[in-house]
Amino acid sequence: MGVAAAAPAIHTVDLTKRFGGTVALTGLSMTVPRGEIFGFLGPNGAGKTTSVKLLLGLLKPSSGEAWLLGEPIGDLGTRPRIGYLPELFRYQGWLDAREVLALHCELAPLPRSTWKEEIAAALDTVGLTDRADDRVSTFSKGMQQRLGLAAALVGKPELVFLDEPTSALDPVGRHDVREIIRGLSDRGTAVFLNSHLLSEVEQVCDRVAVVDHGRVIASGTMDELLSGTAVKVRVSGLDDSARTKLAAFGPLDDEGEHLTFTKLDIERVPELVSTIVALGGRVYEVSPRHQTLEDRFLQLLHEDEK
Amino acid sequence: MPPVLVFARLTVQESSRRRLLLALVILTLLVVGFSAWGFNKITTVTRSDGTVLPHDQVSLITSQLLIVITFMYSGVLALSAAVVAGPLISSEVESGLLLSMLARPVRRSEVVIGKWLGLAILVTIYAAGSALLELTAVNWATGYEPPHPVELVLYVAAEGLALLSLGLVLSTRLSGITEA
Repeated sequence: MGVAAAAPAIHTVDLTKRFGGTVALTGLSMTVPRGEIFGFLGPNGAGKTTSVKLLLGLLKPSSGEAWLLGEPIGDLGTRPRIGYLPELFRYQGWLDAREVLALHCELAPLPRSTWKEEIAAALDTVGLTDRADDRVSTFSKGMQQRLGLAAALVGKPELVFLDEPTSALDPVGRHDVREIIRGLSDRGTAVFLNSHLLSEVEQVCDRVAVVDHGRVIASGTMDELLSGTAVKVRVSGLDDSARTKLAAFGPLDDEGEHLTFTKLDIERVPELVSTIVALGGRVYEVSPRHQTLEDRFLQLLHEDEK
Repeated sequence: MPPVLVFARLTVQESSRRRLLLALVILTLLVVGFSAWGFNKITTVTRSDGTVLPHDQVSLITSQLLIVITFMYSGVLALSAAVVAGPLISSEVESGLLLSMLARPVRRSEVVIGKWLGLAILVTIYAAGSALLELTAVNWATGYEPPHPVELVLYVAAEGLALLSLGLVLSTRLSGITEA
């Protein structure tokens, strides 16, 4: 137990998954320490959900190795210590919320004497206490997602996988989920958060990894990743060829009138403005700001395309 | 409770909560009622001289009709078992219903065996119950009792079970294809 207790929550070495000729994930190597909130980002189809399924043992890796809480992936003995909210969530409509959670307690398996307390605590955490005895078929999608989160929390897992946990939630629900995630981290539970909602990840995660085309293209703490400055320019009168020339100032997020240079040293702003003017553009506004995760994300994807 | 039994219980619970069982019982009662009425007609048929059929002749007609009905009934039961079992696993895989449960310390085989067990219990109880009901109704209507009633019930249940098992096996294979 000594080694396992000290082992990181997740450790992978060259984890790779191919579906026939398609490579879904290639060479994933990473370590997530205990109690950390780890954000796993990437555009649709980047291999995020595949990674989660591989780690949970729902898919078999084509090659590579991985350990959860010090045990090899797919080990049934580790699963009682792990919680999982799938991206595609649906629960038994013919059961009520309490019964769904009891089912998960039973499969976990938790001692029957603890069920009542576990279920009450999980329902309270996700704010479903007053709907506990209603059939799941009467739940909205957001409420089902809350129920899924509750199911992932029963048994006080040491590691929780949340695959797009707020996809069906309103802003209040999203805020609640962020609080829940922080609460988990405070009590020492590691959280693996799969998301493409960047602002969300930015607010809760200690560290992130960005995946694209099945590869990790960047990873690190939020501070390490977001060191640069982004500059947003409101401009008119630039044609396509002029915009192409502006590529010299680094990756560019072109939204018509608004151009965002996702990584640009503040010292180069005057040069940028004079270049735009020289190209015939009219500058209305220049606002430098700290790089957001979205800036960085777009920049990384942009670099990856090259 | 071992996971196999949990999934078996869940399957039985689902069919009862979704009123599948209730609908089945009502339909069965209707069919048995109609067939009892039909069998009873055999005993009231009059010949040209105005007399009813002798008991031996009623028994003969009843036995032949009962065989036809049993075959039709077992066919319907077997088909419905296959139709119910076919999409059972693949649909749950597609909808994501199984995902959160599969991340628990549960083997896939336990899920499949558990579901099979649940359905097998349902099919056996239903086959035995409805066959017994039909035999009782025929006996009441015509006084006829087949020579091997237990074997008849077993045959009907076994046919349902065989098709159910095949359907479930196919269903897990199909899910493998659609999943990838």
